[in-house]
This record gives sequence, C-alpha cells and structure tokens, in this order.
Amino acid sequence: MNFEDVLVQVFQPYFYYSVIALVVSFVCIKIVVKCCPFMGSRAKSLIYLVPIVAPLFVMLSFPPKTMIQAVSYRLIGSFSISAPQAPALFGPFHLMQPPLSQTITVVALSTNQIFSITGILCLTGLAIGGIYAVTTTMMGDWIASRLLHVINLDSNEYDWLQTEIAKISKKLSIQTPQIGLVEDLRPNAFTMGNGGKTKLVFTIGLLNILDKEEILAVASHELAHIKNHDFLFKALSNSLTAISFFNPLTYFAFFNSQREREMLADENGAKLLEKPESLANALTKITKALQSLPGEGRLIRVTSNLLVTSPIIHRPQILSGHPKINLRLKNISQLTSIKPKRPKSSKLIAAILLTCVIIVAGVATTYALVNLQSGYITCKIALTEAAYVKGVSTDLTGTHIILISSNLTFNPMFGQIYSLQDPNLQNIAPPNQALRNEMPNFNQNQTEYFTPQTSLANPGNGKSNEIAVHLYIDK
Amino acid sequence: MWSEAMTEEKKPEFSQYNLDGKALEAFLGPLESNIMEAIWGSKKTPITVREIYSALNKTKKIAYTTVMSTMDRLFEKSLLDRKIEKGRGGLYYVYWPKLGKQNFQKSAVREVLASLIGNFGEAVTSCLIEETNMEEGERKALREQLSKIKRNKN
Repeated sequence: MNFEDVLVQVFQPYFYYSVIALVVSFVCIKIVVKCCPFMGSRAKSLIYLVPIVAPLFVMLSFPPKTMIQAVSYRLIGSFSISAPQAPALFGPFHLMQPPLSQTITVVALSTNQIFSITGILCLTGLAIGGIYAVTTTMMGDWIASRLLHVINLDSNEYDWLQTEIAKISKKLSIQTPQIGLVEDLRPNAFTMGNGGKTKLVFTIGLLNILDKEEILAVASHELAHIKNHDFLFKALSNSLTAISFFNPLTYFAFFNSQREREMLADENGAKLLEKPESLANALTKITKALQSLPGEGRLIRVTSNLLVTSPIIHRPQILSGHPKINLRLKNISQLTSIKPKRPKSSKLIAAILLTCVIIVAGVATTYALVNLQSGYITCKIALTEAAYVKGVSTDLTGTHIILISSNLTFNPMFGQIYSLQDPNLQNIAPPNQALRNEMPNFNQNQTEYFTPQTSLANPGNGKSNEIAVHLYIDK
Repeated sequence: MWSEAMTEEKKPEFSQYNLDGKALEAFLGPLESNIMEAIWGSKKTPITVREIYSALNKTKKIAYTTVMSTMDRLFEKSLLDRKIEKGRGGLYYVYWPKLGKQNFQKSAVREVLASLIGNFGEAVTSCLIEETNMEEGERKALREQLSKIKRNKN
C-alpha cells in the first residue's frame, strides 16, 4: 500500500468527516467547560456526549462502504504538439498559438475496487454500537446479574436497609429497587437495570466496613443514579463510543461524561441525607479499603460497563469513569457549606459569548479541514511520471480525473472540449482517430477517453495560468 | 491484610450435645449440620458461601445472609477453615472443612465421651456395657479403652 492508497482510505468521507467532527467538537467542548466553571454536572455530562454522537450523524449522512474505488494510473506515452494536432487538442477556434514545444504525457487511468479498511472500521463500530445498545438496554441487568452472581435479598434480610431504601426511593419518586448482594470483599455498590427492573447491589465488603449511616449514604448515591436514568445513559453512551472505537478521543469524552454523572449522583444523593458528610466518610473509607486490596477481578472489569458504578480505581484518571476522591469530597463539602453563588450576569454573558465564538471557530475549523481534504486530493496526488502535469484531482467517485498543468498557456475563451473517442459527449468534437493514431506510443487498446478541456474553473490551487485536462474513465 | 490466610491452628469446638438430634444434629444446629453435609458432599473444595447457598436452596428456601453467618460461626468454631481468594468476580472467602466426615464424627463422639467419662466415670462404662451385647473379651477391651481415656483426661 503506497501513500496515495493510505490517503484514499483516510479521506473517505465517513471516516475523515467523523474523525474531524469528533476531534473538533471535543476540543471545543473542553474549552467551553473550562471557560464556564459554573456549569452544572448534568449539563457537562450531556455536552460531553456531543463528540461521541457526532460520528453517528456523519455515518448516517455518508454511509460507510466495504469497497471503494481507487484510481490507478500508468504512463502510456508522450507526444509533442504539432501544428495540425493543436486544433484537435485545444479546439478549432483557438487563436493563440499553442506551446508547440511542449511534450504532453499521456497516462492511462483506471479504477479498481479495493477493500475499504476505514469503511470496515466504521461499519464494525456501527454494528458493535447497535448490538451493544440493544443488548445492554434489554438484557444488561440480566447479564451483569448472572456474571457477577448477584444474590437477591429476601425481605427479612437487612430489613433496616430495605426499609430505609424504600423511604429514600419514595422521596425520589422512584420505584423501590430490588436489593442484591455480591460476595466480593472489595467494598463497592452499583445499580443495574432501568425502569421498573432496577437493582441496587452491595458487596459484602461494603456492608462489612461501613456503618449504617454510611451504607445509607452510598444507597442514596446509587438511588440518585437510578433517578437520573444513568443505566440507560451509560448504555447509550457506551454504544455511541463503540461506533468510534478506533478513535482514542471518544473514550476521553465518554469518561469525562461518566465522571460528571458520578458528581451529579454525589450531589443528588448527599442532598437526600440528613448528614451529607456521611457520604464523604463512606467514600473515604471505600477508597482507603480499595487501595489496600488488590485490583478488581477480570469479570468485574468486563462487566463494569454494564453497571452504573464501576469499582475500577486503579486506572489513570483520564480513563476512569469516577472522579478523583478529593474532587468528590470537595463537591460534597460544597453542598454542606455555603450555597454555590450564582455567577454574575456579566460573567454569564461573557461565557455565552465565548461559547458562541468557540462554536463558530469549531465550525470554521471543521469546514477548513474538510476543504483540506479536497485540496489535498487536488494538489497532492501528483502524477510524478507525467513531466508536465502538476496535479490531479478526483471527484471521489473515481470517474472523473482532472490533470492540472501549469506549463501550458491557453486562452479559455476559445477553447473547446474534445473527445478522441466518445461520440456521445455533447459539445465535443467527433472522435479523431487519425489524431490518436498519430500520437507516438499511444496504446490503441486503451479505453480511457482523453479529453483536453478548456476550463480553468477552480483548478484547486488558485493559480490562473493553469489548464485542466480531463480524463474520463470508461465505466 | 487481605492475603492473611485464616489458618491459625485451633481445635474444633463441639460446644453442645443434643439428645434429640439425629446424626450430626446431635453436635450441631440443623443448619450447621446441613452446611457441613453440603460441604462434605460437594465435589468442589474449597467452596464459597454462594455455592453452599445455591446447593441448600435446591431443597429448602434459605436466606443467603443466614448461610453466610452460619458458615462464619462454623469457622469461629474451627469446624471450617477459610481464606480469601481472588477470582474473576473479585475477592471472596472460600471455605473447607477442617476434618473429613468420619474424623469429624469420631472427634465429636470422643469429645462427648471424654466429657461423660470425666464427669461420671464408672457409670459411663457400665452403661455402655449394658447398652451393647458384648462378649467378655470385648467388654474387657472396652474397659481398658475407657480407663485409658479417663487416664488421659485426668
């Protein structure tokens, strides 16, 4: 695979546009979030989804393909322009003397179908995302329950806990979840399921190390997850992440979003408690205990995507679905101390304006990068064998190639499109087999149509003294 | 902390003898005896609380936490041993019996008998001889055996 082949793969719109959309939107959102410190966790968690959703929209607009047309070319021969040939090449009415000293090199262009690696990547992502979305929303809780061996508590087990959870659920206006236990001695709690089938699971380790107040604080945090529909949120954002699984930035956006959901659950959970600091105590105890215990089991790691709360704390922060403990404690302490001040209106206006500027800059950058693609195709895929040809452009379908030369000067006013072979093309002179036969080394068996064109329209690099020579490829 | 295996040697503790109890239930509570039977009957050793819970639930509905606390009690009595194991699902206790079923019975009977002999001496010997139709040789051997137990006890 040569460099041009790599470019053809990368510049497929479904891949190139989706990557550009994700990268630009992620960078813009990071800046917006930094500039708006007063933005709430809910809003942050939602806008972090934008970079993950963008590739889906791109792929719906430009459906990925498994095969793409690649243009290949090879040198056929070259000929010098003689006086009798000039009208045929450059139109019968041209008044200017063509540069007879120039040698024109003819290349044969052909298209062939090749595997679209990027298309396969995108299709795989879409398939994984789709399967994941259906599986997790419909059976995620069942799968996680089976894999982690969740044991449902009877009504007489931990009855105080069940009573308290029912009370908190009532406060939150949600259905009381089923309570489950997992044998794991690592302290942790998580929720699974959505709608009326939610389950709140504690590990034995958590029940062993926390006191009643702290257990209730953890339960409030988990019930807040249920109230916020975080199981569904996580399932859908996981599915969207799977679509761009090949792009590392997707994971960063995903984990940023998950961390904000955790912060939101901390806030909502702590507000339900008489003593919000008990949640802080519980988190501190859990973190300490987890640090002294070995890393989570492989199964937990695999299934953590099915759970709202993941126990993984041994990951680098950037890849963790949980915020740092000190950030969480600070967030909770803010709830118990002074009420967060509303931002001044001037600051708010400045933030809104800045956000608008960033959005415009993002759109402009995307536009520029998308144009860079066509510019690159126009200018960079050069036919190096053809001495006079400066560049070649393609309209991506591979049926229309434009060779650009700056060596020929030509007055477009009097130009005419000529076809050497195709009689069906309108405004094109009849085929001039005689001329073609005169061309030295021209392969008579080639089916490509060689059509000099007078058009100077948008040759791609902004120079006006260039001539475009179109080669139409026989389909 | 977590890797600390709970293997401190401690003699199995038979703290009760129930006259109405059948088989193991003479020495253990009904659930304790069911758990011990399940552990001895299991092909997998060591075994987790959940596995015993699943096995027991097949015949009678029982709460997980009850099984867990009972197994914890059996561990405290040194009838079970346990350690923390790291598995795919996390860290959990795995249990195994300190004694095989035969040895357990023998040990429990010996404990009770030793206690009876220690307290009631000759009366236990006479009762045992009366309760069983023994030949003279067997009686003599039993007497010698009981005297030996008593000597050891003293």
